[in-house]
Amino acid sequence: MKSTSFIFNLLVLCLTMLTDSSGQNDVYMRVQSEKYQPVYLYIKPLQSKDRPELARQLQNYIISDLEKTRFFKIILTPDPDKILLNDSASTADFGGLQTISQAYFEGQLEWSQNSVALRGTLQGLPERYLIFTQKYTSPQASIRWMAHRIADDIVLQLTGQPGIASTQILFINKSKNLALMDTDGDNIRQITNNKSLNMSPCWSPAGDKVAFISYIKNNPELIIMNLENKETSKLSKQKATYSSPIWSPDGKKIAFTLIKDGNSDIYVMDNQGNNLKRLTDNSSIDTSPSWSPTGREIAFTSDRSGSPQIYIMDSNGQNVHRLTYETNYSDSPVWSPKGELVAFVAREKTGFHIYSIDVNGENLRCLTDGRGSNENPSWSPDGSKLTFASNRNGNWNIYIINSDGSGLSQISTTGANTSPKWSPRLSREVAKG
Amino acid sequence: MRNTLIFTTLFMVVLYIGACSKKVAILPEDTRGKSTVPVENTDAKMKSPVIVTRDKTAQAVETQDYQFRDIYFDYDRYELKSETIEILSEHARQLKENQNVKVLIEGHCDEWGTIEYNLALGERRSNSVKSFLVKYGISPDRLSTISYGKERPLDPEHNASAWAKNRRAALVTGS
Repeated sequence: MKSTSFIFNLLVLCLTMLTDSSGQNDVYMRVQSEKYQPVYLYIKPLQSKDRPELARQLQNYIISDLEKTRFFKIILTPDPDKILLNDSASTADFGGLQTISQAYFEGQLEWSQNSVALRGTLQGLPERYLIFTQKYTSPQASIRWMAHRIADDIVLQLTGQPGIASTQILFINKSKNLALMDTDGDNIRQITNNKSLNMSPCWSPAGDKVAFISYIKNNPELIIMNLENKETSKLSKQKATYSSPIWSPDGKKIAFTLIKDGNSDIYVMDNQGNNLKRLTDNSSIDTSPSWSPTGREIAFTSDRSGSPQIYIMDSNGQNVHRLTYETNYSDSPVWSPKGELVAFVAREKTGFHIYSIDVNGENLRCLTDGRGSNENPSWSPDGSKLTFASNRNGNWNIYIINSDGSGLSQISTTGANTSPKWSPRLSREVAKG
Repeated sequence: MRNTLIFTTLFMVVLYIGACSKKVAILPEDTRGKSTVPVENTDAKMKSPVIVTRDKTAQAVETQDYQFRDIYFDYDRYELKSETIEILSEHARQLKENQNVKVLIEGHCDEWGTIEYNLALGERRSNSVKSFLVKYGISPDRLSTISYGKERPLDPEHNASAWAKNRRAALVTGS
C-alpha cells in the first residue's frame, strides 16, 4: 500500500515538473527546476591601493552572500568594456516577472581613519543603464556586515525581493540564554542574562521582539522581550507550564502550549496575554504550534494516534486533519513562508532527520542524512533555506541547509547551541543589534 | 604460505575489532506493554538533586534520614511501573508521617524526543507521581510539579544506562 502510493506520488511529481502546471511561481522553486536561468552578474574586482587585503575580503564576503542565494552566475570582470555577453541568457524569470538577466556591479572604495565607504553601482547590460547606486559606510571592523547589506540590495534590485544575508538567527546558547548571530555565524551576542533556564525562543513578525520560556522563578513562564531596550514583560498568567510560543503572522496573537495537570494542549491569546482561547482539548500531548503564513491555519504535533504526528487545524481549532502518515514519529512542524510546505522532524534509529512535505500531504522529502540527531528546523524568510540544530559532529550546533537538502553548512562551533529561529527581514536598526 | 594465513587472520581480526569499536547511539527499545526493571539503580542511595532556585524558602530538607529515591519510567512512557509503585508507596508513608513536609515533583526525560515534546512528557511523569500521592491521601496543597523536559539530565552520557536514569521523577522536599 505504501509503495504504490509512493510511486503514484513520484509520477505526479514528474508530471507536474514536465507540464509546469504548478501555480507556485516562487523564486526558490524556480531554482530547483531545470528551466531556471540564473542572472549573469559581472563584478569588477574591488581595488584599493591602501588596503588591498581588506578590499579583497569585502569582495569575497559580497560574492559569498550572492552565491549562497543560488540566483547568480558570478563572473569577475576587470574591464567592463570587454564583457562578452552570454547569448543564451534571455530574460531571467522570477515569479513571472521579466527582469534583468545580465548586470554589472562595481564598487569604488574610500578609506578614512577607521571607516570605509563603498560607492556601489549596478548597471543593466549590454547598454550599461543605471539600475541603482548607493553609498555604504562602515567601521573597518564591520566590513562583513557591510557586505551583507550590499548583497541584499543587489538581490533586491535583480530579483524583486530583498536578500537574506542581513537577517539574524536567534538561538539558545551553552548557558541556556538567548543569543543572536548573523547567518554566517559571525557576530554572536547573548541577549538574556538571567541565570536561569531559557528555551523555545521565537521572533515577532516585525523582528522587534522575541518571546521565550524562562524558568526565572523556578516555573516555566512566557516572557516577551523588546530587542531594542531589552525590556521584558510576562505574558503567562495561568498557574501552568507554558511552552513553544509562536506569534501569528499579523503580530496580533500568540499561539502556545499550555501544560496543566499533565495534559498538554494548544491555546491562543492576544499579544497582551489576554483573551485566552483553547484550540485543542483532548488527553493526548498537543504541542509545537506553527501558523500558516495567512494566519488561517495552524500546524501542530499531536500523539493522539499513539505516537507524535503532524496535524493541521483552522486557527479556531476546527477541522483537525492529519498531515504525516509515512513517518513513524513526526514532530516540530514549521510552515514555510510561502505556505506550500511544512518542514518537520521524523525520528529514525540514531535520531531525528529534517523532512518537508507539501501541505496536501504529498511529496515527502528527506533533507538531512548522516549521523546524529537534527532538531528544531526554522525557515529563512524567503523560504530558500532552513536552519536547525544538530549533534552530528559531537556537540549541538547550528546548521543551515537549502530547502532541497543541498548545501549543508555548519555555522556555529561553540556548542551546545540549540533551538535556532531565523529572523524575519529586519529593519537595519534592529539587525545591527 | 603459513605466514600469509596467520597474517590474513590477524588482519581480519584487526578489521573486525575496528568495525566493532565504532559506537553509534541507537534508539532504545520500545518496551510498550513489557515490564522492565530500571537499569543500574546505582543512584538509589544518592540524594535527589536539589534544584538551583532563587526562592530561598524552598531549601531541600531531609525528613530525618529518609531518601526520596527517584521514580523511573520506561522509554516514551509516563505510567508508574509495579516496581516504582512500591518505592512511591514508601515515599507516601513518609509524607503521611511528616505532615509539615512539602514536595516539588520534578519530571525529567532522556534525550530522545524534541525539547517541546519532552517538556510535556516530563510534566506527565511528575503528574503521575502527584496523582498517586494524592490518591494515597497526601493533600494536593503539599505537592507541586515542574517539568524540565530533557534540559536537566542527571547523567549526560549517551547510552542506555544514562537514558534510563534520566527518565525520572525526582521528589524535592521542603517545608
